[in-house]
Amino acid sequence: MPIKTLLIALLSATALTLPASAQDAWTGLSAGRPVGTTSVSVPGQAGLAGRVDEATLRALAARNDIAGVAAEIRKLRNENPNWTPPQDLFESTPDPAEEQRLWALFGQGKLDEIPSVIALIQAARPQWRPSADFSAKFAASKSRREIVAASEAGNAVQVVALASAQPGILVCGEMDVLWRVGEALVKTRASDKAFELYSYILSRCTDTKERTATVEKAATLLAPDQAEKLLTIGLQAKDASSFEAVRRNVLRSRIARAIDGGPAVAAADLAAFEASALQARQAEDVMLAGWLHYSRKEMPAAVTNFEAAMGMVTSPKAIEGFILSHRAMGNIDVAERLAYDRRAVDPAIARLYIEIMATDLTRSPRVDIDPNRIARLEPVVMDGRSAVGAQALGWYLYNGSRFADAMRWFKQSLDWEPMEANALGYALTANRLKDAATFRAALASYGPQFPAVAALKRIETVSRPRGSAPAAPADNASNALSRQALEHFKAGQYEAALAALDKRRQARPEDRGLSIVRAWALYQSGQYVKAKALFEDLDSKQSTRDTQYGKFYASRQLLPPQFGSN
Amino acid sequence: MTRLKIAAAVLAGAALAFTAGNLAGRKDGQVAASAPAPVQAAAAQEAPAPSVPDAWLTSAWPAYKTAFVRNGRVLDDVNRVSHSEGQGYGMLIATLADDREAFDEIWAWTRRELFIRNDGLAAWRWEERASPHVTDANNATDGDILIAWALAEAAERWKSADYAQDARQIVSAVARKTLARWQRGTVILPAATGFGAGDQSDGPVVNLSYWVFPAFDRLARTAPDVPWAELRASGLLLAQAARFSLVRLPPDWLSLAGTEPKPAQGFPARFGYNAIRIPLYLAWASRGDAEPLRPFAGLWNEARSLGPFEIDLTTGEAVSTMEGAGYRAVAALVSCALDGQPMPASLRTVPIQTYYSTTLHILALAATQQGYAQCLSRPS
Repeated sequence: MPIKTLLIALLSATALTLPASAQDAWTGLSAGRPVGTTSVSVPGQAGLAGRVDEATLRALAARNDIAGVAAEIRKLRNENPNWTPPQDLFESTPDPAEEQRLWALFGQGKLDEIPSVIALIQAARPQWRPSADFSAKFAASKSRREIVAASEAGNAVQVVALASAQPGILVCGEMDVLWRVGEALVKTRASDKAFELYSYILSRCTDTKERTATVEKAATLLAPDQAEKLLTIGLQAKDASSFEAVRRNVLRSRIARAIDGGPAVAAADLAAFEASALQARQAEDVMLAGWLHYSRKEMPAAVTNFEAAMGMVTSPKAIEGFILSHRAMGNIDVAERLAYDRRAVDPAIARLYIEIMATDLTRSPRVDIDPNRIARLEPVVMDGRSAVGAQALGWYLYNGSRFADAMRWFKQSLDWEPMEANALGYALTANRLKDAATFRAALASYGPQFPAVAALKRIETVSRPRGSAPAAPADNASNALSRQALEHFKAGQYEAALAALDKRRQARPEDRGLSIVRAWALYQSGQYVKAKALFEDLDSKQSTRDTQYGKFYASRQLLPPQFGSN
Repeated sequence: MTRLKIAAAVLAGAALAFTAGNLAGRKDGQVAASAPAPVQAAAAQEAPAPSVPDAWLTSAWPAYKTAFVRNGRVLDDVNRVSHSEGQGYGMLIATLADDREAFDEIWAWTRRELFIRNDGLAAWRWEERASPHVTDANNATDGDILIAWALAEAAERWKSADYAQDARQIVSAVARKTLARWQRGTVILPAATGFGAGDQSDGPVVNLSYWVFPAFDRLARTAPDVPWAELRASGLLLAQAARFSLVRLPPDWLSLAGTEPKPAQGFPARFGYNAIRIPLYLAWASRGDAEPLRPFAGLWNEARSLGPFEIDLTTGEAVSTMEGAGYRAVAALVSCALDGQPMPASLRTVPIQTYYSTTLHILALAATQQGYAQCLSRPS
């Protein structure tokens, strides 16, 4: 049974809780043509010609083998002197030359040009039609392209509608389409149908890699119990051994989803996962469990995991997890010491160190900080060209009324990257130094960009009431950049999104969500090598649908024809 | 059966009232269609620098001369005559082989013996044992075009304004005497007389292998006032439209009495020794778009040693194999142009066979070398 018949059956079986449009689309499936029952009449095999086997002739004609056709006709006429090739044979056999032209376009992926070429041929020969084989493959290919486009655009309803209109494409040979349709079904709240689609793939499609990948994908989309059911189907199949590894991946993706706020993972499952990861010294899995603990605010357990991972591999992520967990527990000293000690391992650690220090430096009310801690911070800020670190030092000095020193750091920070926080500090410091020219220049330069700076117009060069500057500006600035990045991304302005992300990352570490946005923006702007590297990195930490798809597509774009695009 | 013998047989049966029977000895062709690129584009191109003849030609040409050239006269050994087409081919190959002495000798003979008409066209047939030697004073337009093409090539290769002037005079006569309006374009009549709408019941009758596409490109630089672009377009149109039977090939001779070309009544509806040149010329002048060649892709089934055939286009039946490496070389050129198939090793040197096969062989290799050199560098 072709996969589409099953889908027709399963889709029409029950009312779904789909949005109306999607539901219409699905029920449309059941009205589709019956499958596999088309009767094919073979012209030329009746009547007088009944004794003449024209099969070879047709096959040769279909291959455009002129010499073969001419020789075969001669042979048939020698054997059957009264036979002449029936006219309908001339008419019904598609012109292989014209068809070859279509196949050539098809092979080059120039689907858009095919209809006009068909029209051109038909203008000259109104009776001409492309072969059924070509028409079917062309239609499928067009549908595939449309489904992929709708799926890329995140239009799940459209994906479902397209699949309904072209059920012929839902076959094992179109696994990518099947996966996209499955995902679209989940998104249109037809998870049960998606589950049946995945089960069907497992029961009908034979490619083990695709089968195991199906379960892995399903696990990122479906409820855990459904994912487990699919896994069980796989574990009972002939290629069960391949699904043993999937079992772990399924749990991995469940943990990853839980970290992202998805369904919780049962304590027993997590404990088993942790234990086997520790035993197998799977640092990535140990860290994954660590991040889950971290997200659940189980900091001691998180610390234990990251510490174990640090013992297995040199991974900035393990160190980062360890530092963040301690910091979240309030062990700032431990966090700061480790971040400082390991700052050379990875720029991210250095940034984390600066961030920890910046939090302390901009604390409100101000607390005195050991000058030695500040002395060892300064070169790290300079080396890392950290605008965030420099402005934090500025605020610390500002709040200590050391305005001239504060000015130096604000200026440095602005040189690296203008942000609301450092522009504000710069202007306020100029005000405190009674340097009216610099103050006005700062307002003119940064007012249009940063509302908080523009708002300073109202203050006079009189002494402000003593008080610390808000510690928040850094956060505000980076939040604004995050929003900008997302807006650019949604608007398809990928380069601009990347620029905003880059700016933001200089101020604050990038979280996973923004990193994924970054990776897709890289992909969309054709920087496949970078996109692939980032997706791989993200996927290694936490494998989700986004990272898996991202890896897949970025890799495909890395095939030789596109390689030069980066 | 040779080209002339077939023609004679047709004549015997059809009793045409004029010299078309003689003309039937010539080849005709079709062209597949794609949007014609403007000839002006070709005219604007720099003339390619004359190339040094390759090894295959430096060995083939002396053997060719020995076999087929007598004091400037090119011998069609099968038909035992000489004709304007052969003179044109001989002159053209002489330019490819950079043999000016031979070129001059053939051109001198041609001018002396064939350019005896008063309209600037060449009488097409010359027989040694007849008196006078010219046994049909009608022209054959492809012969005229080939001679003019060779002169234009010679003018560029040897920097001779005289050759260019001679070429211009010939194509000017061609334009004046042998072009006709058909409903869908300007077409080339096979001769100055005998093929027009009033000359035959299904006239005008044309021969698509007289559309020597690569000559058009070259002559557009020499004689830009001739409507080469229109001729190229009509040839491509005919090639697209004139396809018959299950093999979907053009016949040697086409009637243009209606808007759709049909096999001409006075000739066998046959893809034959004329039409085999159509893919040769198309490939030679394909300008990067090989699609018009697609209909000719299966002329030769190398694996089964089938073809190329003369094919009866009423039934699609193979009539006889075209015996000679030259016909296979044309088919191999098509595969090369369409699909990048390397030229088979056995066809990369030219054995001396019949005049016509040997000539087509040399031309097919020249076309390959000029347009598809990769098919000769790759191992077959």
